[in-house]
Amino acid sequence: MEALRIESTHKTPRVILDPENGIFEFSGRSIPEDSVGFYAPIFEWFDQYAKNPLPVTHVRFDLEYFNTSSSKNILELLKRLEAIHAAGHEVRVTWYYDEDDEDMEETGQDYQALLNLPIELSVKIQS
Amino acid sequence: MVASASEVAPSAALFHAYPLYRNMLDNSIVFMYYGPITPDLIVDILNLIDYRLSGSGEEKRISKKLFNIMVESLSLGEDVNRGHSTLLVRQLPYLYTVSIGRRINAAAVYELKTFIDWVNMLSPEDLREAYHQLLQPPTSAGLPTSVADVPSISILDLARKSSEYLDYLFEYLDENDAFFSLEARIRKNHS
Repeated sequence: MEALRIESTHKTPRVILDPENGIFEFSGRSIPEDSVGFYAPIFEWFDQYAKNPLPVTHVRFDLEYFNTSSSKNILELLKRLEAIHAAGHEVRVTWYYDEDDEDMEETGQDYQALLNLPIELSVKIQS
Repeated sequence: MVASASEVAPSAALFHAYPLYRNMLDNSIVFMYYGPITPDLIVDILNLIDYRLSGSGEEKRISKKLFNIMVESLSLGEDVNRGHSTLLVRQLPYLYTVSIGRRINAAAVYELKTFIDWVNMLSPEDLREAYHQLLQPPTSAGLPTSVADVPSISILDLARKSSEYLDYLFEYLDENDAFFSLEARIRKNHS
């Protein structure tokens, strides 16, 4: 399946969905002008990917900040991963947060509570 | 050449400079904005605040929280088709406050006030549960997704992040519009 790559801007995250290299990443900020419009092609991509996923899909979220409009879309995205997981394919999610960012940690905990999906919360290692 | 009286007299705008300076100083206002709020502007405002905080020696944990609260506060003032919004950040010895102000439909004041009062009475657990409900697609029996064109989830998000009572004020402007301002607080000793 063809990879989906979206470069980051100062208000939208970098997205890499590359099954050939086993890379599934979201990083940066998410306060798009049109949150639904930004995430729509990502949902479509995952809908296609769900038809023939890798044996193991490891998705990493390393977000700096985002608004609640993006939170809803991220939940929708995670629900697609939950469906892949429920269909018997291994899916792992790592939710990175800065050790000083308790809100980002709490958001990861929210997703853990709302989904039947292995979501690991991981403190970012400062470079 | 002799200057006319209008050339010698200071511009009327100058008479506002000192009262504005005094107001900002007396009320510990570190940032003030009036105008349209767009995602581009949100980034610029956050960069400015980041710059101000970086030199203040503020604890990273607190500056992160202030940042997160500002992101959501600014979302509340975004795309308001009733005119521009205001943003005000105060830095007091023991807390920060972030206030967003915007016009709303005057007829919706009671509904919005009732909603914020309800949010203010929720326990952290109930707040979390209500937030989870609003993260998901709406159901007919669920909470309203917006109150007076203000996204309900943003109010819940601010209440959760600040862990404090949300303060608010309504001013009736005319029979159609009211000015609504909402203040979230971040305690510096927040734990």
